[in-house]
Amino acid sequence: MFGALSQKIITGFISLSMMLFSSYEGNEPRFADTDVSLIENNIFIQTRLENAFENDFERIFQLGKAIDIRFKIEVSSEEDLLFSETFFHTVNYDPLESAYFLELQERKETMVISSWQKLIKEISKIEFLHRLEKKKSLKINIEASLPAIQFNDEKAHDLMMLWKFKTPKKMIIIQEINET
Amino acid sequence: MKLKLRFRSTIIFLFIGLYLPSLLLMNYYFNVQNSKIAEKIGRVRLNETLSEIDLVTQKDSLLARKLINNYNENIAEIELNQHETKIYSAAFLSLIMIITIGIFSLIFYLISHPLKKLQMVTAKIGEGDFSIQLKEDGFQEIRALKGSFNSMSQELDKIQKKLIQAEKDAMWKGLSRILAHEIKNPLTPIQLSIQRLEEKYELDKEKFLQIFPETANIINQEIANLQNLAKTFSNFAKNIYPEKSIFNPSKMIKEIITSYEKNFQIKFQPCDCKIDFDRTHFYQIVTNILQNAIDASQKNDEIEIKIQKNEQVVKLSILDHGKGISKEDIKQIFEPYFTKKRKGTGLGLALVKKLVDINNAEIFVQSELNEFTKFMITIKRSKNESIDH
Repeated sequence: MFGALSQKIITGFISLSMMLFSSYEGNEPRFADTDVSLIENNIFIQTRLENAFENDFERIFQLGKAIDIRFKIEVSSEEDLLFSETFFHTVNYDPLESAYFLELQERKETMVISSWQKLIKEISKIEFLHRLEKKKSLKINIEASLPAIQFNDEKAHDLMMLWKFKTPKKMIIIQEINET
Repeated sequence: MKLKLRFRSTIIFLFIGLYLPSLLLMNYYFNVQNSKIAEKIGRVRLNETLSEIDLVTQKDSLLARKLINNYNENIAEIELNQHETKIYSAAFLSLIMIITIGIFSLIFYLISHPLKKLQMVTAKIGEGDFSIQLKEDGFQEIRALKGSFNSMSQELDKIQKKLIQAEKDAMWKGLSRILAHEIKNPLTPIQLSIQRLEEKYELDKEKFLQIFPETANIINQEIANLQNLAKTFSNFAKNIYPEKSIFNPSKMIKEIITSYEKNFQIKFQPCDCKIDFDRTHFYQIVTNILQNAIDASQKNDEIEIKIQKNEQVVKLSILDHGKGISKEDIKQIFEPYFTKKRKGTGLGLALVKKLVDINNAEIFVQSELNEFTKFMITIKRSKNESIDH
């Protein structure tokens, strides 16, 4: 709780500071509308990150290092944590091929993409399937975060800076689950 | 060790110790970031030579990939450094701004709060409460100011006590002198009368019987004067508390002047108004002033009594065209035992002043020697004039 509060204070302070003193645009990441469905004792969550990679990420994805975008999904029912899953969307770039290698861990897929726009689209998309017994109510928390990267033994740069240190989060509460 | 901070030195200390290093630190941060960017840009130029490499073998490709990655890495780092500079410098400036505002607000409070307190206690001193002492804390200058204020209030308290004591002493001395004189005045004729009676009783009994009634009358008269003096003194000395009621002052004045009108010319201008005043005190005030006016006037002189009202006050004036009061005497007429009358006690007008004061009214006097004397009493109007006791 204290951690969440301090995080809110820091991001609030940085947002205010940037509004007053900085011309930096950055990104304003947030999760789009989320689809949740139960299919034969499985939960399927489908969502997308919006406004997350449009500014300042092209050069970062092209720097020749694997960049991991971390996603975390927690599903609980009446205060009981049913499961907590962390997975990554990893981007790597081949300069000679001018292509991005994208690995989507939750989908167990690997793609080779040459278009920047398509990369953003795929990297932002979450299609998560997990086994789940039928419950009366569900609370789903989704969040995304960026790693820190280090160049030539210098201090690490926290890529969350490009999101203005705001962690995109989404909470979905489902009272009655309709099986499909 | 207690740190003694002077106000000016505190401001200078804060400026040099906090604000200036903050600005220097910020400047340093900008310089470091700029130099980093410049360094990275230098490296970028070296990597631009990539286009000249002919990728024939796999080894060349690997080399090229390595160089391109290196190029991209440097460009990315430059960009991240730039973003970092923008974000952190903004946060840093905000932090400085918040701290500066906080410190100056605190200083403002530390200065303004004691001054406000000082202003409040000065007002209390003005009301005559010299017992107030301030806690000597805060900046050294503020502490010194509070210390001076405390010394001043202590001194004022001592001086006030001395003044009260001196006034009491002077009053008792004057009182003793006047009382001795006033008692002595009737005692002399009493003594002389008794001596005369003794003398005649021994030498001429027939004459004794002849003068006895007249001499006894003188003795009785002087004893009555002594009794009157004792009664007036007693009235003046005792604590009086007003028992206020709402009444029409014109009615009471009419009753008072009825007994005088047979022998004196009294012109009265009444008013339809009411006052909240002690009835007995009002009677004493009017009879005292009227008696003085009669004593000062010739038989045919006119005495004018007038009552007027406005929205706030009722004004009573008693004007006589008698011998008047000199400018020197007018300053003392309300002081106890000041009199110019041969048979006066000097307590009449002092009692009038006392009664006016305890009823929250005001009394003024105007006079021209051998022309007139006018006493004016201003009484606040009753808020509830419909009640008449």
